[in-house]
Amino acid sequence: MNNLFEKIILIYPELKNFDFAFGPIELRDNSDGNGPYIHKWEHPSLEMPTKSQLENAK
Amino acid sequence: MAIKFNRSQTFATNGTVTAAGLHNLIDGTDIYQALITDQPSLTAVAPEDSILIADASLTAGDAPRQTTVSNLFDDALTGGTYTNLNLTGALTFGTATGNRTVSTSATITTGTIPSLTSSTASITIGTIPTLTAGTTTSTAANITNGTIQTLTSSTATITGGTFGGLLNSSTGTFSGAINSTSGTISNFSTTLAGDFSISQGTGTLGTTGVTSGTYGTSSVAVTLGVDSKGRITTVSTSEISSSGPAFLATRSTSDQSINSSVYTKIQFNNEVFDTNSCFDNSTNYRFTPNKSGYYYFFATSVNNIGSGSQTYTILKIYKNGNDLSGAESSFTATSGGGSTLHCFTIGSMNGTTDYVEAFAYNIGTNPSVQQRSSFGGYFIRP
Repeated sequence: MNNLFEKIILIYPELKNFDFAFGPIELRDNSDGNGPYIHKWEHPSLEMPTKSQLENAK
Repeated sequence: MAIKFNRSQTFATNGTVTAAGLHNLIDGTDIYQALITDQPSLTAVAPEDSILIADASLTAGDAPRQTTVSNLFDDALTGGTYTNLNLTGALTFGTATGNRTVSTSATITTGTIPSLTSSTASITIGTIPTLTAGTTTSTAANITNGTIQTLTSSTATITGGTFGGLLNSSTGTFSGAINSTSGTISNFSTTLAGDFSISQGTGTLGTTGVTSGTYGTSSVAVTLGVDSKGRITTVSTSEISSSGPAFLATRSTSDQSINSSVYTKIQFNNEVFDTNSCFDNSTNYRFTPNKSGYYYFFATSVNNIGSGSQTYTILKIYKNGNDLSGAESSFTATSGGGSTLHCFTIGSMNGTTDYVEAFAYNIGTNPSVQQRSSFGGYFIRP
């Protein structure tokens, strides 16, 4: 099962690792048992994936 | 019997008595002193006793007038001036009222003046051995004994002795000792020629300034404000920085696995110390100080990968979920390798809701934060 980062890469293969480090996208995990989530999505051209897109990204 | 009259007409025996002679006998007769001295003596004169008096406002041909002894002295002493009146007894008759100018140059060498009440009298020289009551306004008199109730002179000099009354002088010089257990000096302003010392008790130099009390504690520093006269005017306190919260936390017993490319909060679940119980090491893994001020924070992440490789690592300290400080490394490691990042910063905390957390970021395969990682911070100043 792919994690959140891997699912987003599947949806937008053009994204790179560094886009998630200091780029327009930031994923976070508050270590509270709820897992990673999209904390920030400020990409200039790509829309933030929908819940449906993420569920179907395999 | 002495002759009381000096007749001016003498008639001879068997001579002729004429009308003119009788007239001359009466009109020209003089009175001798024996007319009075031969009378019975009156040893006690009463004020209502009568005497004959020649009224100066009448003519020589008018009859003498009768008056009383009382009227004689009352009117005569009131209207006349007697330059050599010599009284040897006490003035005890009647009641004296109004002003009596006795003398402007008299010398009183003995006796007692019970009360000198003149508002203009001046004692310009001499010595008053004992002044037991009353008021003197002399600017030159020496008072060698007794008690001065109120000294109001603006130029008087007191060189010694004991003074128990009110000293009210704006220019006077006082060289003695102020020795009163109950008096109040309402306005004591002077230029001291020597030291001012309080050998016993306490002195209050002013009525304004700080409020009495205790300032400062073992954790509070005191700042004093002093004016140009050396008086303490303000007192403020500030807490000593060491009194604020401090903590140090680590990972205990096991490493924390994190997802690649995801900022993951590091679960610092072991408290080395937490002075004010402000660090949550079981649920949110955050430090929420209960005292406002500036804090120094630091974090160390020991990053490791289980297998594969690691290309990039980041360590961040977040305040309220936002970047406060960060460190990164592009060190590439292979399986079993890793890198260590140190991050430190200073942040302002409100002492109620502000909190800080440490997050790790790793681009790699099966990355983890090892138990040697640590997170800490301490209060610097308000």
